[in-house]
Amino acid sequence: MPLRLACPAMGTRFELVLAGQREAHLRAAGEAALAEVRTLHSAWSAFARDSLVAHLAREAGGGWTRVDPETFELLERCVALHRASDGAFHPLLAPLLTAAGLRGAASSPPSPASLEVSGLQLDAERGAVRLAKPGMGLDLGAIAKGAALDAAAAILEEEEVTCALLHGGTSTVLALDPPPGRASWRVAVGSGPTAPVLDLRRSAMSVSAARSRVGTSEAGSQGHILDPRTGRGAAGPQAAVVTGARAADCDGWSTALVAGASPALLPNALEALLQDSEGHWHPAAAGAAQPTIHS
Amino acid sequence: MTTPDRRTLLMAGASTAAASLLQPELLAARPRLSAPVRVGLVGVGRQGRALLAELGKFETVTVAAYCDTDERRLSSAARRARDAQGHPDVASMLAAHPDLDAVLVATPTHKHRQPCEEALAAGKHVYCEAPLAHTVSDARAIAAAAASSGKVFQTGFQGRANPVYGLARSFVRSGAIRDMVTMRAQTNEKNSWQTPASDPARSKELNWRLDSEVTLGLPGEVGAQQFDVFHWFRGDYPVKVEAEGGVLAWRDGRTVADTVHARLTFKDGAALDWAATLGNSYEGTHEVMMGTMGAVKLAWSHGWLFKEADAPTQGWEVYANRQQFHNDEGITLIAEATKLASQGKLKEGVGLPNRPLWYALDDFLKAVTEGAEVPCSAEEGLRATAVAIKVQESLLAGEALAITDADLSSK
Repeated sequence: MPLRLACPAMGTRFELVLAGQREAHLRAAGEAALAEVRTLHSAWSAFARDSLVAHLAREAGGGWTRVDPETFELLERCVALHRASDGAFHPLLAPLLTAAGLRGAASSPPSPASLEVSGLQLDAERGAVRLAKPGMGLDLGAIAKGAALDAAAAILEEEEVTCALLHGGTSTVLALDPPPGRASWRVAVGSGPTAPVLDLRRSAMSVSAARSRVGTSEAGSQGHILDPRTGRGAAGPQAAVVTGARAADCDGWSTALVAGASPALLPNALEALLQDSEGHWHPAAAGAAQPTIHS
Repeated sequence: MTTPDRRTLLMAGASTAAASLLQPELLAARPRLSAPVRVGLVGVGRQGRALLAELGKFETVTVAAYCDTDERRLSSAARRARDAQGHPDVASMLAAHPDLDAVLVATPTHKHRQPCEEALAAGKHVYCEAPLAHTVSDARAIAAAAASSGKVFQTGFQGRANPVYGLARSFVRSGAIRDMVTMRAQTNEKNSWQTPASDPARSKELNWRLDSEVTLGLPGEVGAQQFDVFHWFRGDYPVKVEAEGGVLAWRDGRTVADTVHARLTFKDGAALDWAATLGNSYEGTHEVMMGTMGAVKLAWSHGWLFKEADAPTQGWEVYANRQQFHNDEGITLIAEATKLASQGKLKEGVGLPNRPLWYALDDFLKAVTEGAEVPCSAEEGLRATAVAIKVQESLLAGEALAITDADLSSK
């Protein structure tokens, strides 16, 4: 019987399904993995006043903050993903999301300068971070769940727990080895006869949908994923599923594709399915490799 | 974080206590640390990592060295404190870094004494996590070493450094809830307390909280922080304690209780009912003090005042932010209320902007650099630790125990 452990974090529920012989060890390792998720949640939360992200926003335009290696690596990954997606993935959208009514009461639009990714300054030698201008703010919601799952899986593997499925809110999933006697962990994206079903083994999956949450401002209502280049609701596909080795990459790219990134920009190591306005799923790019789909 | 301004508040009467909700800039104005401080960290496990995370927010603090007896944790710390040097023990760390200003001790509770004594003997200021030790004799030895060193020593009882708690205390001490009639507190979490380790020797080392030979169990590892909140608010210590509990959630062969109830009775007859379990997380960690005119509920990053219906209404209540708890309405204790109210941003002030640990470190670092008073001295740490030890002793003995002045004495 697999062991299930769960905790609330990042506005959703993280769950681990672990298989193995020694239940006490599985539980201890799983609790350590979930403790890591909670630690990262408390650093990366855009909603908690005492998070590291909130601290960086308060210090914007001021001094440097030395951050933990998990945060530094995540921010480096964010900058790289921003460039690779031609700006569709954006780690500094906090002021824009607030203005759109997606972070409490809607506010006035942010200055363009507060959205310049060059203002996210990283000092690799000191492991220090600085937001260059007042008003800037990180929002890591498009990648944090995936990064937390990667970190949790690393702890499980350190503790020699290798048969596991981890997910954050079911929208981002990371599979280690499958249960004994199975070839993979089978994950369905949504329900219904056309819902994609993915076989995951030592791989991750993330799904993003354009209007899974809606914010309201003077400009009207819009989905929670914004195209950073226009500041408006995303004009990309209805939903995107990305699979790959790391959950953080899948998480970030699924958001980027819905936000309007060209599927041609998707790195070779990742695969994707996009949902059109009629609900049909298609490979992200002609000729691109596809996940194993059982419809 | 005792400041002249707070002392003024504490001496104020009930009418001005109400006004203090709108004058908490006195509490919130925390000038930045300006002088450089070089610190060494003893113990880089779970709490050591939390300390490193908070120290990173102080631009003038350099973590120059760290030590731990566990090789895996040393290796992990090398990533987290990349400019610092790792050492296998505190002696080699102190020998290699004579320029350290301060040492932070985050070892398991039963291993606090040696690093504290060695660091103080080397002329370092010391911050030691709470509780101070697992035995009264060790706690007394640490307090004696601190007293004779002339160095800053702070025990990590964090309630005393927490601005929301400071604000609430100013209310309670000046009569806002009137006569304190009863108290309760709890720490509920769902967690086995097992730390994974394949090697049996390492497992024993890492799972010290479940080692009946050295652990203070739930009363020491989570209760002590809460008991001290009541000591600090009331200004006295319990005179009797009765605890019971058992292994109710994790029947995995452990002998250390995973569920505990205790009653700590004070000299005036008021009692604190404290409960802790590792089997359920409902309502988490909080403390409640109930008086004849109101109650205060504290949950580390948040605090609320609940008024009795016959309590006088104050003008400041117009501005107050409120939160509903079933049939009760709590007035949120906010640390920058006047300023935020004038900006129409009162709701943004709900919850501390920093972790409680950050405030404890800020106070310690200011004591080191500016000579400020520490919020919890070694003597105060000793007394609070002695109370927690008595609770654990009562739990193990299965009977009520008296707490005398001698029990709390440093001699």
